[in-house]
Amino acid sequence: MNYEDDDALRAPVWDELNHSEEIEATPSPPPSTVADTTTTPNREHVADLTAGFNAAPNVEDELSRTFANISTSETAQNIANSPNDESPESPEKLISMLAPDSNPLMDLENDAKVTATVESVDDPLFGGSSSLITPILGEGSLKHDSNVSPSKRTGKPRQLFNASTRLRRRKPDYGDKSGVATPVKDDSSTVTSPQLNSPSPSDPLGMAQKESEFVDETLDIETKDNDHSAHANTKNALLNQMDKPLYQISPRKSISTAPSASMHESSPSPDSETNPDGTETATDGSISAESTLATFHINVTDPIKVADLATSHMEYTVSTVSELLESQRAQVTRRYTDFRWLYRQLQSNHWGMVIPPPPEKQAVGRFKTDFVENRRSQMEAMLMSIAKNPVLQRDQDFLMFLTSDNFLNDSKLRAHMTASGSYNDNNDLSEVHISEIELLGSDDAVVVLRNGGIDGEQNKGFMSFSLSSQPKYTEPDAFFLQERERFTNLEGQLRQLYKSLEVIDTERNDLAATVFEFSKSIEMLAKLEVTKKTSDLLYAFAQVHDSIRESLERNSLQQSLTLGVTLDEYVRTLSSVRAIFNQRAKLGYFLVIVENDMNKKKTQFDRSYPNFKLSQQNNDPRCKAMLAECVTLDQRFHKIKERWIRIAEDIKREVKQFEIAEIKEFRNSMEISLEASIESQKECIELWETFYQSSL
Amino acid sequence: MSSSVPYDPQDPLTDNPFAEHGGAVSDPSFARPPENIGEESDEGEDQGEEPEVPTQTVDTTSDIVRSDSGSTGHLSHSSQASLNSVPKAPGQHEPQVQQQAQPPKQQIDITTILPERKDTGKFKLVVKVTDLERIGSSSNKKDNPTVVLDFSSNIPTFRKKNHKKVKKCHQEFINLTKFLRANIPESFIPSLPATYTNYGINNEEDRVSTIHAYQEWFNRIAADPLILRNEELAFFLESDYNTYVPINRVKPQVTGLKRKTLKQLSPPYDEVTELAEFRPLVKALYVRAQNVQEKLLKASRSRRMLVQEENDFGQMFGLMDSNENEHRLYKRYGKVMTAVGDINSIIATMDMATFYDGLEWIVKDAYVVKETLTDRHFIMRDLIQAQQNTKAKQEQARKLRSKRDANPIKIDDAQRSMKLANQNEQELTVQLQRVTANMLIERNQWVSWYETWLIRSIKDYTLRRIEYERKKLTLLERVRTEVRRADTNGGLSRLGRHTVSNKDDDISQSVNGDSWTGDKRRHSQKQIDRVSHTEFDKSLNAEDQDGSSTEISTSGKSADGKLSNGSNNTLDARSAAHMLGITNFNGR
Repeated sequence: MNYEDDDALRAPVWDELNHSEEIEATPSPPPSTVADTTTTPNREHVADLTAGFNAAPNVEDELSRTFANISTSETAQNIANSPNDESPESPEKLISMLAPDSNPLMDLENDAKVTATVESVDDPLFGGSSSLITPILGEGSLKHDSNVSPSKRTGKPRQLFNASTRLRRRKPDYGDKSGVATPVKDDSSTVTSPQLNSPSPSDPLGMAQKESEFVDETLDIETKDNDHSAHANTKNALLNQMDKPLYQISPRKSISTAPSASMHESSPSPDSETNPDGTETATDGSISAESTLATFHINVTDPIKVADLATSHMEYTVSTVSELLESQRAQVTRRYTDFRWLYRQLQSNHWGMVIPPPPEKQAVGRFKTDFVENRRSQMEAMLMSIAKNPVLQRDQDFLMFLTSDNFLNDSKLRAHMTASGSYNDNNDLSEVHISEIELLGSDDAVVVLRNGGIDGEQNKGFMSFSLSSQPKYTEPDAFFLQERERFTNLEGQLRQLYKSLEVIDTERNDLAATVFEFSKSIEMLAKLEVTKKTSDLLYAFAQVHDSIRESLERNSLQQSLTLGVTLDEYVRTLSSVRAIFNQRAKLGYFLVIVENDMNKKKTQFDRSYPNFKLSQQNNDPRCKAMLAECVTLDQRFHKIKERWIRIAEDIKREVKQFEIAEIKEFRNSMEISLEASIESQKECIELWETFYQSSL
Repeated sequence: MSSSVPYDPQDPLTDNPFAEHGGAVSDPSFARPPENIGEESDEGEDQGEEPEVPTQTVDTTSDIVRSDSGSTGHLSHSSQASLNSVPKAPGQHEPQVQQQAQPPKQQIDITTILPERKDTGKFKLVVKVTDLERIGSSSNKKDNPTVVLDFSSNIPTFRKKNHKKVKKCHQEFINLTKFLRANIPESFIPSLPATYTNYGINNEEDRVSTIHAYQEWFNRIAADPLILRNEELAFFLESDYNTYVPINRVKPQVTGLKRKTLKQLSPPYDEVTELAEFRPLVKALYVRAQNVQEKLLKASRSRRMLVQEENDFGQMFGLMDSNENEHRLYKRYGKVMTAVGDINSIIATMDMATFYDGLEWIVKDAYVVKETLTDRHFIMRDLIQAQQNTKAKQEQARKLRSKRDANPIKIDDAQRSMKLANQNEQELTVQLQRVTANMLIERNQWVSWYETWLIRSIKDYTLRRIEYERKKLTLLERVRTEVRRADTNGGLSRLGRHTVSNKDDDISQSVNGDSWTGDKRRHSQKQIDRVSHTEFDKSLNAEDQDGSSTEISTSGKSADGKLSNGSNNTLDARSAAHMLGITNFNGR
């Protein structure tokens, strides 16, 4: 792994950006900016912010200790930064670790007692958060802490009411992680760094902060305006969308909305990068923005074949109009792989969320017009459903996808930064890659990655081919097993249904073709003119059949556009649903591995130093190293465990939402397709009746 | 004259080289039929002294009365001819013959050539096909059904006037038509109807339409006086079940390789443009109708394939995993989809049974017509040959006569052979005349039959189609309410469904006409009933009940209750039918 090297190379480029990003992304402004913040219309928000920061100095010591305890990612950094702090802490922890009880839960409890950080496993969601936040923020903040918690940004109080908001909050972290090389950018130091930086007026961070506040305000107004227009817009958009499957027959109905905008769009990528971050802040800052759906008008148009010698592919023009974009509109060209990248990236950014899936891969016949058109509409649908999700629509990577002119580099960079593995795309949409950075924080992730990933470490520990002794993860929650099974079944059934619908479609087209031949042959017979009457009749007869054929073809197209498209999307989305289950399973797997590792290390330590006492200073470097290893593993374990628990909540919520949405969607398309067949049936009867009356 | 043969005024050869040529050429007396032929056929008298040799030979088969005596007549004639060696004159050329053969046909009464047509209403055969029996092995059931019929006739060849419950199997029909085709070259003998339809044997529809087809065949037979006068018809009808074989000798036809080769040659010059054009027309009709059949078969097949897939789709829909509420809907939707598929399958069958089978008879008949026309070509060829032969013989005779020292025996011989050739030519000429005249009549008859039959089958097809398309619509509309009920603001509401009625009884076909059209189209109650009850109601309902019968019955009751409450007093037939449909569909 040359992870470090890469970062070192990149660091200077991203340095400036990271500064601004970091601050913008920080939902908890340092005390110096509180005065500014009070001017924002969000009074209640400000109130709790100030409350939080009034309390902050008092508990700062305690806080930093707590952070050091719980956070795992920054441990390495902490050791470097504050060795004094670290050394008395780790022995304390070790006591618990070395406790004869190997139960991790026990460990946790001990931990909590010692560090006064309530991380009770029994009630990880509520107990943990309240006990953590109350001393820091006071009562006022508690009311809002599910939405806005100043300390959230640091990632310390893990247990929150709303897990998804936490996820959202975490997004800005990616910006931080880009600067792994610079110690200031580290998670653990963020609380202190603004405080250090803000007093100096010449500091670029302070400037950036003001900037961000400015952005904050304007965007608030914007979103308010949008509140009004959004209602109308969403209505329209919904109507439009409804119209689409039924009536969008011509492949390029929508020409790019702003052809001239493409020239305008060539703004440098950093700009488009910062803007989304600014909006992030806005989202975090105002509660209403959370639920506000910004309207997006996304068109995927103009598939053009780009023929390189080795890699010929189709490029699609993605043009977007939305107030979330800095320049309101953007037009870029993307290829299919980019859409897959986006899917993977979003998946990695938002664990436990069902990401609208891209179309399936296909090797042959990639340039057939039917296929291209189908794919185009599928990708358009994907982007639109992403844009409809309040969380996903503000995702940094999504916005970058929509705007970046140098997507190839930007995407690679982002993928690397987040270790999302978006470029090692698995064919199966349900396969997931768990980003170590996201999981463990950047610093520990570097270590882990260097060792070949979490399970790589596991394998390394054995050094031999002991695959049989690999720990196996068994899902404790029956809900997941059950649901997973159900979804897999459903997916299978839907897949079959879709296949059969496809076959029906081809058969129907076949039938249309044969009916066409039939009508032609009747026409031939009519041309004989055996008698005037018969030939007239036969001509009319042929005519009816021709109309029937047209009706058949229309019907088939309609069916595939309504039921077919929905089914196809349903199936693919189910893959995406399975992906979140896989995420949980993978986390569980990691958990087991790390636990296994940890236990082994502990027993090893126990054996080596059976008489180890926390109180007595031990200067044996080997002992220290082992202790550090144990601590790292312990922290890792806790982090994973916490994510593992959180994703469970996310999944449960997401699955429920998903089910409702999908079933509704499916039923709608069922109704539409039924209605369409009724209409075509009427048309058919009418054709025959007319023929009967006029000719017979 | 030196000839020993006395001039016989009754000799048809008015252009006897020995006679005066003057006005004889224009006199078509050779075409003159025996005046008494009508009476002969009526009563069967004085056939023995029939002087009209050519007609006699031609009529051997067609004239029922003389069919047996014809041969004797022929014999006597030939002996007579050999005795009376008439010296031939070279005056006769083929164009002459044809000139004489064709134009007079229009001028003179058709009955002179075709005495059978003189009094068409005279003989009657009324056949009523009453039943169809399929017995024996499965192939026998299919290919050799037994037709039960009653008939009455005033034709003297029948022993009895009325017959009841006569049974004839299809094989006998085949034997009869084979005989008729060979022995009545003048007529387009109707081809036999198909022994089974595409409805598949052993069902009522098949039985009815097969009976109808046989009835149609008998009607066509009874309309042809030439066939009626053939005694074989009586033999056929009056023979015992499954015993009929042609009593008379089947005239050898040009068959096999010879026929094939001859057909390759370009047809002889035909003066009768109607018939000259008719054969290519019929041939094209034959080919194209077959093409249509083929295409229809293909369409029907692909429709069946579609049905298969639709059924699969419906079943899969029904099996789909989901929660209770959806499950019922999906199941129901799947059921309806399957039923719609089944209706498509019925449509495919109906298409085949109506239009395909209709065309089938046209194709078969067109083939027969075509071949009969080919036979006429053969006669024409024979005639040309005979004319050349006659010419050669005349030439020979003249040469002999011009020689002074000619052997009188040789002269006599030559004269005799000339007369023979002449006679042969005459026979053929008359035969061709008869064939041509009759075909001209029958051509029009056939065309009109084709017209009516085609229209009939298209009409049949259309009616069936409409019926089943309507049933399909009914089925689709049945599930509509459920789909709508499941999601009050889904689907079309997004397209502005509030304009669509949300009532439960949203059925677009009623006695008042169709809701979607402005045309006043009144349906009788019977029609509506027919349309609103499909063959699959039972299965739909039955399967409903096994699922969650209580739910359905309650919903059905409520819907029913609402209806009856709303229209308690004004319950006319219309709403009753409506209700019937709904309750039925609700599963009770």
